[in-house]
Amino acid sequence: MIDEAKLEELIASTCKALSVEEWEYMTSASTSFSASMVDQEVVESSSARDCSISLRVIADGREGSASSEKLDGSIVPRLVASALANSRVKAVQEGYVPEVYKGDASYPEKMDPGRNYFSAGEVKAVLATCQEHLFSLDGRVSFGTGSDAASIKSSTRLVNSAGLSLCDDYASSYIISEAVVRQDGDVRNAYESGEGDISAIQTDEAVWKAIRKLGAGTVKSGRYPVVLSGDCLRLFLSTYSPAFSGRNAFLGLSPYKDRIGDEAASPIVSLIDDPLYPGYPGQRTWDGEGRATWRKAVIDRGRLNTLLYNREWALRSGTESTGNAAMTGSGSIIRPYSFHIAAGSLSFDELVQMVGDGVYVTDMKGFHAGADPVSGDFSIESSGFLIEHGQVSRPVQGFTVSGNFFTMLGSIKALSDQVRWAVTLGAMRTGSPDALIEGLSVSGE
Amino acid sequence: MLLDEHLVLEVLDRALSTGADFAEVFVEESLENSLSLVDGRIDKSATHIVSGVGIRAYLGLRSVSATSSDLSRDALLATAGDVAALIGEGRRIAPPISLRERLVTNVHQIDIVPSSVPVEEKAALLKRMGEAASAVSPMISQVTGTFLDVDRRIMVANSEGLLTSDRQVRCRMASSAVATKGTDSQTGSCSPGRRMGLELFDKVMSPEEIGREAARQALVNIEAGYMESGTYPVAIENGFGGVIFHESCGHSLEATRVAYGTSEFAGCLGKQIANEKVTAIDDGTIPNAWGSLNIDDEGEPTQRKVLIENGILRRYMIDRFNGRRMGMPSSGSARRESYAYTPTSRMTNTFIDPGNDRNEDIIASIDEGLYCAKMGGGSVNPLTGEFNFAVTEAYRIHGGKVCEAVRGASLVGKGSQILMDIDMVGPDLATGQGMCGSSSGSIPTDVGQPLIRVRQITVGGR
Repeated sequence: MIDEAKLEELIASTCKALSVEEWEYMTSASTSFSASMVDQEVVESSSARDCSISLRVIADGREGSASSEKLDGSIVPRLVASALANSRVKAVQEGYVPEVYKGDASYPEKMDPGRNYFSAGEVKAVLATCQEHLFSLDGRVSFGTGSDAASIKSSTRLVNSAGLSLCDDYASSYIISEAVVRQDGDVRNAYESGEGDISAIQTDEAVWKAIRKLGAGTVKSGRYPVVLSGDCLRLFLSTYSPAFSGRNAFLGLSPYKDRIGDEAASPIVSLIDDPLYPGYPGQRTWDGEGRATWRKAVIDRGRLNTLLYNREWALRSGTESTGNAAMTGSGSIIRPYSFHIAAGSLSFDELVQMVGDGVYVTDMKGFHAGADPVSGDFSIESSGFLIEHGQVSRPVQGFTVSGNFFTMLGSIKALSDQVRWAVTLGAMRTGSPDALIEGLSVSGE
Repeated sequence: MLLDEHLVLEVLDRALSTGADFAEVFVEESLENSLSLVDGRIDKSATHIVSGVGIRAYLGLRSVSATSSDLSRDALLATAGDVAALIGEGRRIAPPISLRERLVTNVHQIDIVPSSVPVEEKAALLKRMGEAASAVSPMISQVTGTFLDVDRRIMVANSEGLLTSDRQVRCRMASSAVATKGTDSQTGSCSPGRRMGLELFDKVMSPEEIGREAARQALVNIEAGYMESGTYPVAIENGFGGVIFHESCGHSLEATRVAYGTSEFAGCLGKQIANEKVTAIDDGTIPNAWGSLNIDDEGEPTQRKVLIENGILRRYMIDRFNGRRMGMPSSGSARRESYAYTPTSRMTNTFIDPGNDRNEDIIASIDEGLYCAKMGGGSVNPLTGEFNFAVTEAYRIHGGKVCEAVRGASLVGKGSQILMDIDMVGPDLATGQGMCGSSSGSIPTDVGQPLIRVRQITVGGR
């Protein structure tokens, strides 16, 4: 891998020779280790040393991009030439003049993310302890039960022709367990995961969740009050987060164009994007265009407060960047950081008591196909439990839950006091508490 | 060759130095170009270079791998050293290696290599798609699209002496149209791709046809009512309808799960797992098909495999490592998104073979049910076989006739059950293209089938 100073010098001289007026690049170098254990064996383990570069150039008022996982001196002329060629086909957009940013006067400090990096030996030791523990919990835990763990540390650098030079280091680790349980010919599985200090994370819940699914029956089709687990509702946020992008609203790919200040959800719902959420391994103090980041309420107590922007779409929408630019191989895109629904005030038991009779949905899958990010319509395979007389009762499976995400936000009647987070190894993540939805269509028997 | 043969030998020797019984080197250099279109204009144009090495070693039923994006000699040897340190602490047990190059017969003719075409010409193709879609109706409020071409070069060598390489070129254009009526918006899409060059647009679909098809679907859906949920007989059209087999059964026949006994079809070879009308095939040898290969990512020639023959399970899809655990040879099914992923068994072009039922008889046999004209993607839990997939264009069937359009339907069920419930199979096979996600990343796969009838299935609606 080429030395940083040499790389900058080479990019500057190559751009100058090709009459590129402004340039910006981001490099990333990471090392990682991951391992998988099934039953009592470490069956696969893998280490990686990766690097990459994303380059953005501006020539004749147009910008173009190119990127590479190869990072040595020989790649630079090819990258600059490719980015320049790409700039020639990108349309000049009204209201937007591309530029590179000289940087903000100051940037926030990261909150202490805690212990996040583990050596290969430590990862394998954590896995061995975890697997032994899972099998000790219950006699029904069966062959095929496995756990994966990974640890990564990465260094990212943003440099541009305006003199900006920013650096960021982060580390992250995760563990995920799949418990397989068998009883009387019935076989069930369930997952539990955690991110951060993997030596302190317990994945026992995978076993209990799988056991609770044994003997699952069906649910009668109808319209029910539904408690969506935090793990399920955060999957909705992952699918529908593009609707809160200023770009998508501008282009009519989201219902939120010209809706700032309007009611967008139930008054108990606040949708937060926080780049510095405590304990979030992927905390970012600057975005992919070099702007300082900050916490913002996208929906504040039910009202749409802001959308998310990078510089291009902020200018084209007549507003300012929200520090949500991510630099990718295809240029700047808009991306949230730690995107979540703020916790409510009820315990889970209180939430279920409010329902009376309904359905508690704990697992949903197939969002990539069953949820339309533009219309908001969804029809998702689900499993969970019936709620009878204010209590969680028998397990149910093989049904779909259908509705529209944008109207569902207005039907959230209560939220629990704990946020469940996705595990992402430091990338964008979503989180949500459990939520009581007034009524959703359930298709079962 | 992407790497000097002597250096390959050095790397393999280093990986084997602590007692591994097998080692493999996978080198990749790929060029990916992408263009995106929105509002009739080119929104993004990007070039991405993938370059790196994946080194693996086995010791019995244990596999260790290491990857690096640095192909310098020092980095390669250090990466092989990482593998050696993780796999064992002993001395070399593997015999000396003598590499013998195996030349691959390329069955995928490429007429117009995408990397030789100026980006302006590709942009013009994408704009033609956008203009055609927008022109279909004033209700088409937005059209987005992407054009992607990939030129992938791989080299595989292993301690058994294999040394081989391949070049894999593919193209895909994807269109998405939004139809708007009042505050309601619905989408339609069309995404043909092939393992071929820009002749795709002459031989398969023109940009205009791709755009118009997305617009047509969006317009059908904007006028459609919602399907009532319930259990119905369904007729699933050919083409991407084959996702039903891909999700309900295909993943559960991959060694990735079968080897550990965590597939509902583990231990079922020779048993009836599907209706006798069902014969299902995974075939990586089809010239120019989206999921086709010459060799897999372990260097093994790809194969045509009859997975299910008249309802009887005949074969699994097996990679080298999981094959060890199963006591079975590789079926040329190892695939990885790139060097950065560890390969595992995956599908290529998977389809239900044509049957003898007439299409009109299939529709006429359903009194009240659903005709699924276009399917979206889906997913499966291979352990339990529970699967789901989305219907992107559907019509109600009344009295054996296809009637009004309905939207918002999804199909859910259990793989072992639905395979038994496929009780009519039509004569006209067609395929659709998708990107399949699994532990070794996102890879191109074809799904396919003729028109089929499923006796009954849970339909999620409103």
